[in-house]
Amino acid sequence: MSNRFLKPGLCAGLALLTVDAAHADLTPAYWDAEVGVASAVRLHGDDRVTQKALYFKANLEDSWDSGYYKARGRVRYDARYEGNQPYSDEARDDYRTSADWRHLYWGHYLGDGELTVGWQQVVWGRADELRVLDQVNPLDYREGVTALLEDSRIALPMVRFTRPLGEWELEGLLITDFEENRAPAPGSEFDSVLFGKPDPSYFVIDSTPDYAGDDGFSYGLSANGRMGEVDVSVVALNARQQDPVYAVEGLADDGRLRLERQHPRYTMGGAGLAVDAGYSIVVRSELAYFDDWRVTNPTRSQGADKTRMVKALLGVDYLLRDWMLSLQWQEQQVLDWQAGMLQDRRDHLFTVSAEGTHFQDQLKSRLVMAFTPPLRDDVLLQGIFTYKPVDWLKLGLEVDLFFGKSDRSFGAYDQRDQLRLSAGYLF
Amino acid sequence: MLRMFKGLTAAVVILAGGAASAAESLNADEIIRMTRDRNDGHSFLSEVSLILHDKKGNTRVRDFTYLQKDYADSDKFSMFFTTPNDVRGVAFHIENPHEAQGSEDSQWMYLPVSRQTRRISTTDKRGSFMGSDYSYADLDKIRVNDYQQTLLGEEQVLGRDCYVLERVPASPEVLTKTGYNKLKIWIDKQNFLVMRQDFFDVKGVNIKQMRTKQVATVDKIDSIMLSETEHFIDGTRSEMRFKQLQYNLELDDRLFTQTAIRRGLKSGDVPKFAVSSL
Repeated sequence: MSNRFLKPGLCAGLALLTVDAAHADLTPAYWDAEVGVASAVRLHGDDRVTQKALYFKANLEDSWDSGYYKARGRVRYDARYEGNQPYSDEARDDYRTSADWRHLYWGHYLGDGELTVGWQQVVWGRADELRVLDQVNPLDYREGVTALLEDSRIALPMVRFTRPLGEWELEGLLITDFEENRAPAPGSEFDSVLFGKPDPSYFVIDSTPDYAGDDGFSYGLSANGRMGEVDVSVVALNARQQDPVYAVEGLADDGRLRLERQHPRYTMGGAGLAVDAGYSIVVRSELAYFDDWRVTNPTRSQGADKTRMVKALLGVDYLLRDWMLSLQWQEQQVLDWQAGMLQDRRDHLFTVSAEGTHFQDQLKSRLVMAFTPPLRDDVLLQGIFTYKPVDWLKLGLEVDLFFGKSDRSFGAYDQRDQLRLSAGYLF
Repeated sequence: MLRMFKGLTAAVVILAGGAASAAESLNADEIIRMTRDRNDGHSFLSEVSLILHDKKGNTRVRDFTYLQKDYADSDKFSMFFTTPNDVRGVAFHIENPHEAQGSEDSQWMYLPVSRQTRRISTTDKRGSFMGSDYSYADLDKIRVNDYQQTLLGEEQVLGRDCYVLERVPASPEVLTKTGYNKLKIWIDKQNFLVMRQDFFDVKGVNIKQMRTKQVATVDKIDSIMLSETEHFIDGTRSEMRFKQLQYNLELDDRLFTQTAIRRGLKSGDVPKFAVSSL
């Protein structure tokens, strides 16, 4: 990530805030940190230990009369990739050490509004661990498809302005650099057909457009507020697709097809709402329309088709004492679907979850079943438990069980059920 | 959901001796109504420590800034948690329509880990407030018509003369919302502060007791500064300690919206000395 700091996109904004920050005592007014160990064990096969990691996380904040800064970062070293390890060299290089900023930005008050500049995460919509309106930040899939969004969202460099307007909040953002979803390294524990690349026996990828600078920018607008008893969000985004699309460039000398790995630009508009329906029920809904969406289609001479796409979500939350029970249905439909597209015309995903706290909040539990019908083809069962008996100790346990066909999101990880354990010291 | 702290922190203008005499003839509904309608200023700001004691004697403290402002048809509350790190940035916003409006309150919660504001149903208030022995229902503002109340007599609590009332839910919905089949409540005869409350479950068992431990007069308003709730079944105990209490401040309306809790509380939003951090 270090080279991202050298990109010029944010320089102007950061320069504006330099004077601001100069007034501040850079010793943070608030900080916290966590150091710990984490391990993962596959429940099948040989070489079952898949992670032996040491991690460090830190959070710094300070403020002054006209602004503030926030920084949250994490570093991880995984000893599993030392010595005689079962994964590819690419996986070793990718996973042995990793570091990223969860956010790093400066804020400046402008009247009632607020300008923030730096690496930020922006979450749109009200979906629980599903992405309908939440399209701003790309995801890091290096830990597979089951990691919580809060851990896998990649912070992007952006300039963002928010200001209240009565009961509403208006937001405008300009993302200065493009970043794609990060797939697991080939030959790594979480590599799967979902992240497959064109078969090199038939295709050669000989170019990738440079999305640095002006070609990589994105911009978006949102408004969040209320209409009567209904919470309403309206969003619009112009950005590049975070997953690659392959365009045919011609024939290579050896007869293989030459492909270009592209991230086409699209426009998305959408809205979401939430309402307390009584009887302990909150209903949430989101609808997003994608224009100029591209889907790889190997049967087309140009290698990809343009289409319109709709994603929708209906969620119901039921509060039962200290438990929040949620049911969500996400539907995605490619409106101009063509035969050969590497994306289904319709995609459904259902999630059933229960999230609760117990023993004076010392134990937090999250139980999830996610599936795509028919049930036997694609199922994830997940349990995440965090136990914090005292303020300085955090113990984590996660169980992921996969069922289904090998070409489906969760079924692809069948036989890679896993147990994750962690222990962190907080200070 | 948490119309809450009014029941705990707000207080009534100290009634003069004549008024106190008049209060001698109050019936149960009037006592509850006067408790609900105490003058607690048009706005309120406090730093609050929520202290959790487990049954082994271990203690954990959670600090938050609490703001309240009166509007024509409702009271609005915002709470911003500052420590410890696992709750830092968690925030609530509650809109509590006046009882005469006949409508339920609205609540939103911002969780910094998910960076999302979620609407929370207010029909079930039995859940624990941030892991404490206070349920959301316990912290609710008193409603006269949710219960049928009977005046049982008078007793002293902390040397103060109190009315003792029994309250039973007026409808199955109230029972479902609170989980309490009966409340026994001690109300200070002079300032109408709730000095003690016993909570009974559907089996008639006294499961919890809330006690006022410390009262102070701030800006001429009697205020609870320390409240304690003991859960007899779980063997746990929670305290709520109010600090830097201020009434009748000019608090900006933008602090009392559901979008405000995502932004968090920043320097300059409230009087400087009252910001516990940042």
